[in-house]
Amino acid sequence: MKKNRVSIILFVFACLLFTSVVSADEGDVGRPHDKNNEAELQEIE
Amino acid sequence: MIFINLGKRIKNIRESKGLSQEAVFKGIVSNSHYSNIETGRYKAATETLKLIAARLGVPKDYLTSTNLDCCEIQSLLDEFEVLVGIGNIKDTKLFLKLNKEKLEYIQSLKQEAYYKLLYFLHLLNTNKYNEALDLFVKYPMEDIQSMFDVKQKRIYLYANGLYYYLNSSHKRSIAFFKELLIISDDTSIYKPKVLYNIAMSLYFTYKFSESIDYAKESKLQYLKLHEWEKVGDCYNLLVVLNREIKNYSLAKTYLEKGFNIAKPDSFELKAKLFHNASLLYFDEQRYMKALEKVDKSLNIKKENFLPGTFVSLKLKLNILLNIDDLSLINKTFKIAYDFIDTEIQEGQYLYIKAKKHYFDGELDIYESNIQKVIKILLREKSWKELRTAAEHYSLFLEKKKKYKKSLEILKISHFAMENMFEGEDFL
Repeated sequence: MKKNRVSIILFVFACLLFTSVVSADEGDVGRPHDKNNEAELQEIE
Repeated sequence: MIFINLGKRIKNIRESKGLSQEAVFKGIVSNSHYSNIETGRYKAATETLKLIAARLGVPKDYLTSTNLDCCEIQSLLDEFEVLVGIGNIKDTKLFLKLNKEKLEYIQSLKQEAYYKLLYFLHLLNTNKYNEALDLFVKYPMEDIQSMFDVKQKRIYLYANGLYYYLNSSHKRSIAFFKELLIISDDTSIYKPKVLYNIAMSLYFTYKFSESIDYAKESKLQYLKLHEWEKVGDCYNLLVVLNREIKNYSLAKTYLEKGFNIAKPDSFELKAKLFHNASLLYFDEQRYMKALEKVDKSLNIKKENFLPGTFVSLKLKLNILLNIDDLSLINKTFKIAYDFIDTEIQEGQYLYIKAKKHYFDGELDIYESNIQKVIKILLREKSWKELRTAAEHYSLFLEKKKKYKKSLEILKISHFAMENMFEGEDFL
């Protein structure tokens, strides 16, 4: 019984590792481009 | 269709003036009739609308001539569109001040809707994000947009793309932006922005390869326009995307290109590039180098009041978990705590704390912390972090030979991963 549980877990872990394609740490991509040109350059109150 | 929008208009004015329904309908129509007018089920008689207009304190044409476009308003809207397009905030504010009265009650539903769309973009130009999002919720335009001409439809799609992006509903955002690309011409000032924003949304939905295509296309368009800072943003995004697909050499190439194009005063771009340079060193387990770069990023952000401090502090903490410097890690935990802004960030912060307790062998504290983390991240639907946190805890339980509980937690990790790639719209 215990053996079965272990194998299930190991199997699922293997699947997880295989599909684990996304890194845990975040890159800094900043904000979307939601402003028009001059607004980017102006001092915003 | 018109009745529904007229009803919404009446409701909006009534609510903005803080009036109850009764205060408006009393002596004019019955409660149920008025209710049907607001919900758009009935078309009210012109005489009734005039009485309601008087009660609400608005010009009668504002309720009786809602499908009549006005030439003077149209030329004002054309002017407003140009100003918003250029993004000159000072001139736009002056324009709005000078034409305040004329633009307060625009009788045509179509023209008013278009005015609201342009005003939404103006609010984004001035960094008033909350106000912009509130405006969008208050004036839903699904019904009216069918009356728009092509030029207005483009603005409608662009504004919706941004609205859903800012609401973290990236799939919907992509759908609006892609529709805009179909009807947009190559000279549109919005095109490179739209391509970039699609690339960003695709990044957040983990479609990295497709995102790379859009980021590259956006970069080309910005290059043609000589918008170097934006080109730098594209390079930065390409660093992150190539790192995600584990193409580290290309990520480094783009990093170099990003630094090369950055001007001495491109603070935001440089802060992002240093953060991502740190990530690349972190992946190579060159922790001292990673620490040096993330500190550079943090300094630039601090000196220039830039956003993204928490994300860099989170990375710094993860780096420090691999470096034996107790006082520095404790100091950084304290600083990061003050930058927690959202529940998700609180969950992310506690997750790193839990890992610290795990490394220190304080397993009881680890367990109580990680359980809290999983609860928070599950509630906040922060799938990416939840996946790794649940996986961490599941492995811990497995080592402790608590197999049943381990499997239970592993299912949460799996559930998080399914949501990362499938279910994305939570609105």
